[in-house]
Amino acid sequence: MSVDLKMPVLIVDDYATMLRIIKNLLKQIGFENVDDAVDGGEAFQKMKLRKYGLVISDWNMQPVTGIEFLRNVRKDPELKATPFIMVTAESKTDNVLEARNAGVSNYIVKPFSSEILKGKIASVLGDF
Amino acid sequence: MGDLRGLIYIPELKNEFGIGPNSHDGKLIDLAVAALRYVPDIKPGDSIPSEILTGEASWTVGPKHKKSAEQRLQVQLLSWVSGKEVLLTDPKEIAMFLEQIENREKLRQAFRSAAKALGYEPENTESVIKQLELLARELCYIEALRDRYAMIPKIAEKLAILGRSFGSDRNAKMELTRVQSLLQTGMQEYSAIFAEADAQTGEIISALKSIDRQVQYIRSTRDDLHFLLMQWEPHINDLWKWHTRRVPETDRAFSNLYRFLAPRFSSGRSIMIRRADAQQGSDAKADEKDKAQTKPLSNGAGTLAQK
Repeated sequence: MSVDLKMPVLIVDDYATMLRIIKNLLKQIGFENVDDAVDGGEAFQKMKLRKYGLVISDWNMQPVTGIEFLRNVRKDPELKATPFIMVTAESKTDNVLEARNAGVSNYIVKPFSSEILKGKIASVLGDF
Repeated sequence: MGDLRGLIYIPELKNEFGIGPNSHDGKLIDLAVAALRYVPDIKPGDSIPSEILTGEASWTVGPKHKKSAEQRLQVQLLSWVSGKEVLLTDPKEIAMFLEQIENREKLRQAFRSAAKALGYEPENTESVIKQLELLARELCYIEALRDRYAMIPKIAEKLAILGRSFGSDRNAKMELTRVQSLLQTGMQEYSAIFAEADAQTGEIISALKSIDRQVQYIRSTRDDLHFLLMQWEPHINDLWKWHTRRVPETDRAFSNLYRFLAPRFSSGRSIMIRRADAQQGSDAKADEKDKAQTKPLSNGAGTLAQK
């Protein structure tokens, strides 16, 4: 399966600097069409208005956390199939299980490089 | 070779002398090549850089940078406990911020809260302090590099001052504009690496919980920044050669700066991206592309830089 690098990608993080970092990393990989949101609530609203090929969300956000946002996405019939990568700063087994049970496609542990990000995206969308 | 300098392509050297990849000499050459990522030169008898052996830096930092790293982490801890991001980057401002009485008390509280978050007893702030020190011992190298990189914008200042002496010399002004633009691209490269490092290590409690991973990341960033800095160093050291008007010494510094910047940044591709491409075997193509895009400078009296 070849990945369409022009597809819209949504990144979600309440830390503005991290949003910029991930956007730059995605640009390095070849994705140009990247939107962002600062929490799960705003991200969900954006997903209702536009079809995204991939969502990359931080776990640790307020008021709507990344895991709550993921659950909302998976409950919505129009959005539930969206590939969803969770970004977390911890790799605790409980967190991994919780994300998996909530339907995450894959997760990345911070800190990460563009190579790691690309690998995770490839594992979800296919090699590119 | 006296005043002469030669360039030898390693694979060709190995081929010419029949040095196999798994031979003792082949492995030694590969080690020397790997070491050149961390040191500017290798001579017989030199030690293998500790970056290769243990991951630790082969260069040292002073107490000033160790303190700066500790204080930066303390500010992160304060940000975490207050729920509000404290956006301070200047070491002096950070020190002043931490000196404020209310922040000293908040920091004591932050240590207790961090102990709890890390699974210790709240009174066990000693464990938190030890983990912070461990992290600071790695981050102090980033602080030292940050300090050194802060000299590069001074080159931009020197260029701006020099530009005022050009009067109505349009050619000279065009050359200057080109060099200034290339310099900005170069500065964006390392600035992005610092910003990424600060962001990726910015969640203090998570960083303390996954110290091994953080240490690996910090060391990798340290080595990338140090590698880049080695290339900038001659131009930082040349800062004293920049006068307020064109004199031969300044012309030489200007020319050297252009020769450094043009092949690296003229196509918008950073040193690190070129290095990654080279490792994937596409360097020959990159060089052709850069050569095609590098134009010579001239100072009216001749050509300063040619490709």
